[in-house]
Amino acid sequence: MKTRHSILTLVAGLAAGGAIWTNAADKASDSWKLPAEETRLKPGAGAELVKANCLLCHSTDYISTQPALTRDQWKATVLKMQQKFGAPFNAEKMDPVVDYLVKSYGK
Amino acid sequence: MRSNQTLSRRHFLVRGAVLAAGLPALSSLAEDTVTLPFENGERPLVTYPQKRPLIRLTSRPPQLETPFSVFNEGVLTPNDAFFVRYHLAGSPPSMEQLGADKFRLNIKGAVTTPLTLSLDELKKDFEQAEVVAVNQCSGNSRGFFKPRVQGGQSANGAMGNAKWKGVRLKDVLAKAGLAATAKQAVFNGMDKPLLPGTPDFVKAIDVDQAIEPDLLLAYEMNGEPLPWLNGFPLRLVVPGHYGTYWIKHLNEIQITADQFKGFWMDPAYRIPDDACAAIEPGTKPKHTIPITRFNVRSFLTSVVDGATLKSGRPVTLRGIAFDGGYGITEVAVSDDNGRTWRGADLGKDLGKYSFREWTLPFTPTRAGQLSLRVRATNRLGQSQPMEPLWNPSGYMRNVVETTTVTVA
Repeated sequence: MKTRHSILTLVAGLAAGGAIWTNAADKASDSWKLPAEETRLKPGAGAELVKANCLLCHSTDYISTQPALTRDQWKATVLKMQQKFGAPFNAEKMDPVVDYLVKSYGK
Repeated sequence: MRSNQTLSRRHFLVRGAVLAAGLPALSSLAEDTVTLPFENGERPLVTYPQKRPLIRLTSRPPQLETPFSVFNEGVLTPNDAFFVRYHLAGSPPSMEQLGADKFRLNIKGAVTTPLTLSLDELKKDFEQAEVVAVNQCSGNSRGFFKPRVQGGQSANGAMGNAKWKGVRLKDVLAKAGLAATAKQAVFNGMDKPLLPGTPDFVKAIDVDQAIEPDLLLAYEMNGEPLPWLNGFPLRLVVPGHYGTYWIKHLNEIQITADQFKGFWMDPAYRIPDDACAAIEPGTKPKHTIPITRFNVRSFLTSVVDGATLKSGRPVTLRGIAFDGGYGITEVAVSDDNGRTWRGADLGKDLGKYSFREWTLPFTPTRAGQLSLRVRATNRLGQSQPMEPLWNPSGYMRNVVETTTVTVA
């Protein structure tokens, strides 16, 4: 998200011949940043798949703060992410992702 | 039941041990953590722009919970302690994108005159109005559900009470002129999803409700411009209704002739279609409806779970109560597991949508464990259940809260 914002800033600045850039840089609130994301995925088989498919849209703590969920609950969550939120899973990735979540954050 | 207490400790003391054990590292900048009183409840306290250290549930998009002790500081929740809840990857929009000078609100669809309004035009062209109102997340207190359910695992701090200032939605809609076919008002903010397949966070309410005088397009909160993370520069305020409707960074109101059918109205944010929004734990509801108004809640704020009170020494118990906008008429406290109740004194009335302060002089007399229960009732006679109700989304928890103390 940080990268996206700085690209937008740059584009806006260039388009306006630098005028907006200068103006924006004067406003302290324009440079407000969100604190860094610190939580890391637990290591394990499937972690890279989760990183690529889940962490695109949300931080690790969306996973790690859940109570210990059952396989059925994790599977339902992954399906919801794919079917309702457009997460880019294909069929062969689904099981390794669910396996990882159950093993690392489930019961 | 340890409902309100959070246990603080210096986090850096244990960080090395956590890393050595190969467990996920928490924030390296967060010196403190709190442990919310349910399984897997450890959270970092993190400082965000315009905020004091708050309980971080998630970082991207951000979800921050208010430490419960804040609710004992006063009936209005300070802006720097007010909870934060986003849904989409592109949240919040940067302050540069939001820039108050370039911000525009568009009203379009089934109206006679589509409008594009700057913030200055909103403030100048319409009468200003204020309301003190609670905003509460639908999933406030979800972490206490038994059995546990998926979703944001909040304790009781995903709520707050503020004085909102803005203009009435009905005045702006009147200027646009609702078409005879107008059925719903559909609200969208500037926070956006990242992936094309992710539904934008859009909410709808019926036009009949949208023209009620209490709904505001708010630009101020407790006398200050809205904080960045609470919807700057403009948000919808729907007093008495769950926060899901209070669209932040609001820049589009579409009037539709049909029922809006977006993901965030159906299947998301729905409750079982019965009087208590509850079903047998672990089961699935047959029919659901959109979540709407708050049910009745009350909390003891001056004494925390696990505290020690001196036998024979008088104290003043204090807390807050609120409901969906009918108004709190009674708060009562029991120290004998609900057999007998004593009525508390109600504090200043800041309006039917506000937290209502309550106080009760109390002298513990018997040494040992003591459970203090608090229960509120509203003008309709609605109250709170002694046992928690359950639904699969973890919404609308309003059990009679219990604070257990030791009398010594």
